[in-house]
Amino acid sequence: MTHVEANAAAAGEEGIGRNLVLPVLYPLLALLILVFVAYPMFVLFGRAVVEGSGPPFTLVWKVAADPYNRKVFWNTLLLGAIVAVLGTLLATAYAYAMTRVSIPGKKVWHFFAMLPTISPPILMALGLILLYGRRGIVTYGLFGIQTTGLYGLYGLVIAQLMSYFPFAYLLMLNLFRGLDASMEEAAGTLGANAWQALRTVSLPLLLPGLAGSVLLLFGYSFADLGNPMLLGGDFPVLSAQIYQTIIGMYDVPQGAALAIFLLAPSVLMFVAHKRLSSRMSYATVGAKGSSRLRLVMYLPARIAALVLVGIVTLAICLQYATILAGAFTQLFGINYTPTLRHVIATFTKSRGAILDTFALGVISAIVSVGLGLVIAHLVARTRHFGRGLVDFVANTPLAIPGTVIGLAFALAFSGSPLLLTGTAAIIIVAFVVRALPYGIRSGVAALDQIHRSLDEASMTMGATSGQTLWRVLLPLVRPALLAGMVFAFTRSVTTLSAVIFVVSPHWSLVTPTILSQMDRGDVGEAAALSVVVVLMVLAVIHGVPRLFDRDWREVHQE
Amino acid sequence: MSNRTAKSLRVQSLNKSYGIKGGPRIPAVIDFSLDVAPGEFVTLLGPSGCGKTTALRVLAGLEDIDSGEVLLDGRSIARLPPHRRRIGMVFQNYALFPHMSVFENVAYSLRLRRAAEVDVKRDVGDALDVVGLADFSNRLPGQLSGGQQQRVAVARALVMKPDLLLFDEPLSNLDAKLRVQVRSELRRLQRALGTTSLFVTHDQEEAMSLSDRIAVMRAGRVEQIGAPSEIYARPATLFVAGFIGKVNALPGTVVSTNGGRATAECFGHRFDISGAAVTRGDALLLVRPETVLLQPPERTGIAGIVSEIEYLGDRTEYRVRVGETTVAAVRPSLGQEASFTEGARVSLAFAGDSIHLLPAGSV
Repeated sequence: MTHVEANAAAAGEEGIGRNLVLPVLYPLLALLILVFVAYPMFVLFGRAVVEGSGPPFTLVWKVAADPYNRKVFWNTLLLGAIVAVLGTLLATAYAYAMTRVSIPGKKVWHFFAMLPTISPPILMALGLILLYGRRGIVTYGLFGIQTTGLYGLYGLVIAQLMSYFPFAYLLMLNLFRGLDASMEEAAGTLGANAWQALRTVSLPLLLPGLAGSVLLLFGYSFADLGNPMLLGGDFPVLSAQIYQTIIGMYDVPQGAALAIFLLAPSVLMFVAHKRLSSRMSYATVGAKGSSRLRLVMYLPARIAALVLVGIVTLAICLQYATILAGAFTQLFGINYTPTLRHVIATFTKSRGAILDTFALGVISAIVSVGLGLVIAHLVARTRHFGRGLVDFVANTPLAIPGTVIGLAFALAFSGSPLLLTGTAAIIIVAFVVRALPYGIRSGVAALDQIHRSLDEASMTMGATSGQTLWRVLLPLVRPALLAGMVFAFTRSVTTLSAVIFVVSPHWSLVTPTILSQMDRGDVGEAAALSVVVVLMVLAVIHGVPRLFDRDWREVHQE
Repeated sequence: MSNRTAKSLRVQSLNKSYGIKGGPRIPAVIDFSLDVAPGEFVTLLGPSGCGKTTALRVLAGLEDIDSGEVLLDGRSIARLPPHRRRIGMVFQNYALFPHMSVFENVAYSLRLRRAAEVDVKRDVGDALDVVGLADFSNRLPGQLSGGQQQRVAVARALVMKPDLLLFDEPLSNLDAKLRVQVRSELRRLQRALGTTSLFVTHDQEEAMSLSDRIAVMRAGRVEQIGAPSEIYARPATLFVAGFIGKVNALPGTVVSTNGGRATAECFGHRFDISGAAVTRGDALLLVRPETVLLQPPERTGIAGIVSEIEYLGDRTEYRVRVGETTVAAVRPSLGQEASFTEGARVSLAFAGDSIHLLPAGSV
């Protein structure tokens, strides 16, 4: 054997050794996903379907036949439908005003519209109660009315609109920006005025996006737990009903059966949404127009747009201002003496919850984005067996309301073979599973930015796919991954539904703490803790990129 | 669907600039004036960024005018919104509505006018007949080829019987062969309909083949307006000469002028040049490569050495060094004709009436 041949052989062996990384890593990954995503859902189904000595589905039928449960189910659908339709209208109008009408102060309007996306939805209920509740500063303080009108359908609609319309706004904003300007220009030269061009050309092109927004909001409304628990009143909905059944009545099988009825419509929505977005093909005919659209200068339109964004922003600001005020007053609604008592209590009594939330949020953000990247790489860049299935299962949490996931986790890991109840692990896993689809998305987005030839070049120079991932791709995708981590962190620390069944005395979290403070009537502490969690998220969103990434500005122009 | 009453267009001192936040305004079109006769086909020609598309968009009403006047058939339209100008436009990317069938795309302007269904059917049918797409009316734009999409866009603009047709580089997204074919179709169509048309392109060949007149633009200004042959033969500036075809700009001196004639000296030879409006002194002699005669060295002419030969199939391009200057010459490739080799000594000649004189400082 010549010298050269020996070298080649050695290199070959080395290559095989390194190549083992991925074949070992991927089965492990698949196993993790099966255990932590698929298995809990099977356990949940099992508890709902097979119960006691009766034939399967006895309980499910019994739950479905119960008139009260039926009412709760229809309530949930009604609330979801109202929020979905109103929210989409509001989001579309807001996005139109922001992208197409000449109005001042767009940065301000955008900032406040985005604020609810980084806050726990439960904050909306809290703010509404302080403003318009029985002792609300507006209803009672201003008008002297002691009303419970807030509690029920109307209050829920308003709270959920404020909590979730920003997500739809973000969706519509990107769609409006993506519209080819020459479409409306062509309509103009053909004799259409601005309104006709919008109605006959732009809105039909946006139709799939509008439907997507409706389904998105429907899903959010379904999954919401905090607002229904605080504002539901005599309008019970499924998520709160599940919680009451499990925590209040200790009836796990019944709760599991109810969870199936929450899950089914959510999955339907999700499937519909998926099919819809895969058919959103219109907008890409021909080359992109070079010109940007002119802003609407028509004065009445500008005034109307300004009034719209102004009112929405005012309503949102009022919420946050009230919560801030509530954090610094003795007992909002009764005793308005200023105090630091609640803030101090937050940093003493609730310190554990804040620190736990932060630590577990950071850990799960890193884990979910890391896993997401590996899965994205598996799906987009390799041909490993079963990659499609791994991708599908890892993405299913998108379709599952938080309450259902949380309950499934609590049931699946409360005993052998995997006892996790009471540990930090169960919270981290719940966070990670919920954030994983977004982790995958940011991974796919990051990898998409990199031309395939880069990894091919790396491979031709003798790198294994693992080495290529580590040495070539990872440095390039870092900004996108950081953004993904920030998003995962935000989502984790603001969720209530997914964690309410898995928190324990050892590991408490901020959102369930706020809920119990509200239950006890500690409005001040709840407000103070809310302020802290919003500030924490804001600090992470603005701090992390500045600390860790020079290229942040390039990636996030907005 | 011929347009019996073609309209005239008059643009007077049009100015348009863009503002950048916190910066100075950048002029895009400067003092642009143009008269287009009824039924005439005029092309705005220039390199990218010269303001030709901006000028077109201002005329369509898609951009606001800073100052100036636009008269269509004597009526001011400068401040009208696009939908009230009766100006049809064919966009560079065609801008077909992807959610509407070919028929509905073409019918769009008629429907906005609430035309009767019979009229819509007839007019759309006529327009699609004209562009040869009658069988495609139920297709969606996404199911058509680029050339077909382009024709739908033309039909859509024609069906409203516009007073003026604007074309914003409508051929640039087609492949080279198709471009030539669609080009001649477009010309035939415009001639037949007689609609006053303004066409924007950066392709000089396109401009020459389509237009009655060409306006060459550069850095926001119109450099020269004239018939294609006039612009080619008598470019007003060196820029125009170089943008439309290749040209040799040879340094020389005008030694005498007499009415429309001038005598200029170049490489020690005297040339009698007609139709020149220059004064005595230094000048540039513009000579198109195809008018340069390449002869064996023993003939009378300017002595030079062949420095480079480029064989292009139908023709061969030569570069000949004459002192410090390089002169380009083109000869058609005619069979087995003996040609010159690199390094060969040659004699150059050109006729005085193929020379165009420009002042020495022309750029």
